Amino acid sequence: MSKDRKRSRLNLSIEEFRKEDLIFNNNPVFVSGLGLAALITAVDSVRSAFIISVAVFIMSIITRIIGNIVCKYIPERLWIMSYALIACMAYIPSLLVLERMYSLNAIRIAVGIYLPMLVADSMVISRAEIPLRETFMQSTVFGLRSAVGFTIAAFLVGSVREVLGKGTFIGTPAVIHGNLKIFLTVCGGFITLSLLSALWQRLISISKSFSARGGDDK
Amino acid sequence: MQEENRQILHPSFRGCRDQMLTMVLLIGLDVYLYGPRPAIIILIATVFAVICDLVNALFRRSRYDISDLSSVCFAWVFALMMPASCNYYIVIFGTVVTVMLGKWVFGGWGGYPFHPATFGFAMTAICYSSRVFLYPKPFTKLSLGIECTAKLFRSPAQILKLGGTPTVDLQDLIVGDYSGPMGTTFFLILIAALILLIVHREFSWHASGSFMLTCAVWAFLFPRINAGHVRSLMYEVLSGGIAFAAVYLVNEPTILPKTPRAKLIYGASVGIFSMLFTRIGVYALGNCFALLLVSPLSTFLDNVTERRSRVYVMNADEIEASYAEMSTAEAEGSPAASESEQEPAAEETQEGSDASDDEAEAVEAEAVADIGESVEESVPEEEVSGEAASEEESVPDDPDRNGEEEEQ
Amino acid sequence: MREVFADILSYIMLMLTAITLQNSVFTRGLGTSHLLSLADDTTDTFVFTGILTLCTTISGMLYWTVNRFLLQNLSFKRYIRPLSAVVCMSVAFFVVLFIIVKKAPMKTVQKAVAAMPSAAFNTLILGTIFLTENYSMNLVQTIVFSIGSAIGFMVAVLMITEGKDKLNNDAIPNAFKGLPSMLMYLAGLSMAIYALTGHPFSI
Repeated sequence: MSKDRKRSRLNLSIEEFRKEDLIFNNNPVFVSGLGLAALITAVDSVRSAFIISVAVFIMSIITRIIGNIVCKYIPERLWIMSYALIACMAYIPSLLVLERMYSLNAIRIAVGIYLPMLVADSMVISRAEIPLRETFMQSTVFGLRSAVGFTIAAFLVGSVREVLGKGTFIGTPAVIHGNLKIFLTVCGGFITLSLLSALWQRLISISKSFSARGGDDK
Repeated sequence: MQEENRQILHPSFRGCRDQMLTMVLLIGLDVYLYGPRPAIIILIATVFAVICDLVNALFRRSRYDISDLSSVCFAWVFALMMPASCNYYIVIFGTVVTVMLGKWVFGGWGGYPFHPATFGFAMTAICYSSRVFLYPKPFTKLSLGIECTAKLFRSPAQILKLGGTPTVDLQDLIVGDYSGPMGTTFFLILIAALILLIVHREFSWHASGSFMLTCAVWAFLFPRINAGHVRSLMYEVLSGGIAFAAVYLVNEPTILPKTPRAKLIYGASVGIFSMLFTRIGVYALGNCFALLLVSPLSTFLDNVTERRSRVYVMNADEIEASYAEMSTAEAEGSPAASESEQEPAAEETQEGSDASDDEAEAVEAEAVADIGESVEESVPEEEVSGEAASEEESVPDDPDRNGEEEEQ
Repeated sequence: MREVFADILSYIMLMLTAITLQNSVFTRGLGTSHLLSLADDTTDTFVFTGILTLCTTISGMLYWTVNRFLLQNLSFKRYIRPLSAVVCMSVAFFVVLFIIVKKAPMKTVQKAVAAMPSAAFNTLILGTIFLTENYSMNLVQTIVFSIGSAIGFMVAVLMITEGKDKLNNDAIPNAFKGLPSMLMYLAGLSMAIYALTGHPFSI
């Protein structure tokens, strides 16, 4: 079984690979627009980006795997509900992990209600809107990929907003910086995400044109 | 020959040119009051607006249209809302935000949902709120360095916001001899500019008129100061940048609703919101924020009023469809007689389809006509007469007037 | 009598605050992903926001009760806080489903049932629940604030649908088509709302 899978992975055409690529070509944040609530408001520094990313990593993978198994026995209309309930379970280990790294107060100041709110975030539960079941391996791999895609996005957003808004990078004063208060507000979150996702889509179109040129050469 | 010229020029050229000509007066007065610093600020805004346009042309690999004055016009509008002592970096920041994020992100002239200068001003106000709401006194020579060292004061609008009563004379308020943003203090000149632009058919009186009237009525009815209703009216209307907004911000042709009734409602709602913003909000100049909220609703207002009024605004597709119907009807009805007339109509239809989106919008705006009766005659006539984009706006839903035009 | 009026006035102010000053989308970004997906697909926005209002209110009430009588003194409350909220949301989901199937006309039932899952489970509802808890509101305040939040979301949906036509413009640079231009549009609106308060809200 696993050998078949490997071979099929190698034989993927570029188009198929693009469809499955949740890190770059189908980045959950910049392309699909998932999980924006936390990024727009809470992620205004690298630290809060890290906290949110850790939680998303643990929660989205666990939810995707268990949700995929549980959904066998549940009608399609209730998938979202069951995913949210599973995410609540997954929230407990993620909070335990985070508590080992930061004090409770630090977490509350950095991300506030946006950490427990991840259980209903489209980043974690939107998989349930697609009425297709996947194998165990698929759910693990895709869950991991989308989490990585989200993490990259969160770090980009967090660092841009921290450098422009606070003038620091991971707490140390940045070389080039502004003290633009707007980037610490929701408006700045919208603007940052807008600009970064435009940049991302530009990169995607460049990469596509590159690979198309490569295909022509062959 | 004239037709060719008109095609070469950008659709925004005429409006922006006229607005900028009136702004030159304001800049001249600023130079008289504060020395050469305002001129430098305007120059910086102009240069960076052009640079932004060039960068955009470079990125999109499109032609740089030198007759597209809209970026420079928006940059000037933005700069005139700043204090004369403004740091040059803030001007650069605001100009880049205005032109890049306010204009080009939404696809350039005609695409933006709100006036780019309001976007730039809002962002600058939020970022530098402690620095852009303090103004120098008139007749102080400002230093030309990046950071101005002159002593700064609150504007009357700001004092009203803080609950105080300003101590500026009525005469000074009308002439503009008090500390305030560079362009918004010269009430008389702004009113003159408004009248000039309305007479010049740049835009109709509806939106500006209802906007100023609403603000005035509100200020009269709900005074913020104890000095009485009339003084409240005086201070609020003269010092709040209302005339400036009425001339340059409310009348952005691509945002303004199409029907006169919608324009009236639009102006009134901008007025109500800007007064609300000056009361509840934290910044003294509420106009820009009110416009950010209200301008996306212009199509909605059009749709609402369209259902009730007899004036019907066709979009580009409907115009083409009506042309097609017209030509087929003519071809079927009297083939011999219509042969000569049919050709120009067909040509025009083709022009309409070939033309860029902006031209299509102009045509769309132009076709204010009662769909049942006068489409066949009035639309081609207006199109041939040209300059229609500005003319149509003053066409109210007045049957007499429509009749007159048809007779002509 | 005067006290009753003062109370009513304070509740009206609270609702207005929830709609404008503390608009769920423009000041906290709650439910932005759903908002953007609503702009794309053809779900009936009024049905969606109607369900959303019902769900928000009912789950807010339920969570208030649960929090008051069960959770308040638990030492491990922070671990099961989302769980209890989601359980409340699930109960609200079934209650609303029941109401719709029993009361609504046949045409709306189909639309409503299709929109139910994503209208009942999103960050807007959960965020509103947590906010009412953080502000330690009483039951009436919770209900009023929940309704206000949902109406605020509806206002955002209306603004988005109004702006959508302008943002489908061909002249928009390719990189900015779709999500980025929509986000920039939301940024403009949220700046206007920000000017009302002048400071970000605690999260």
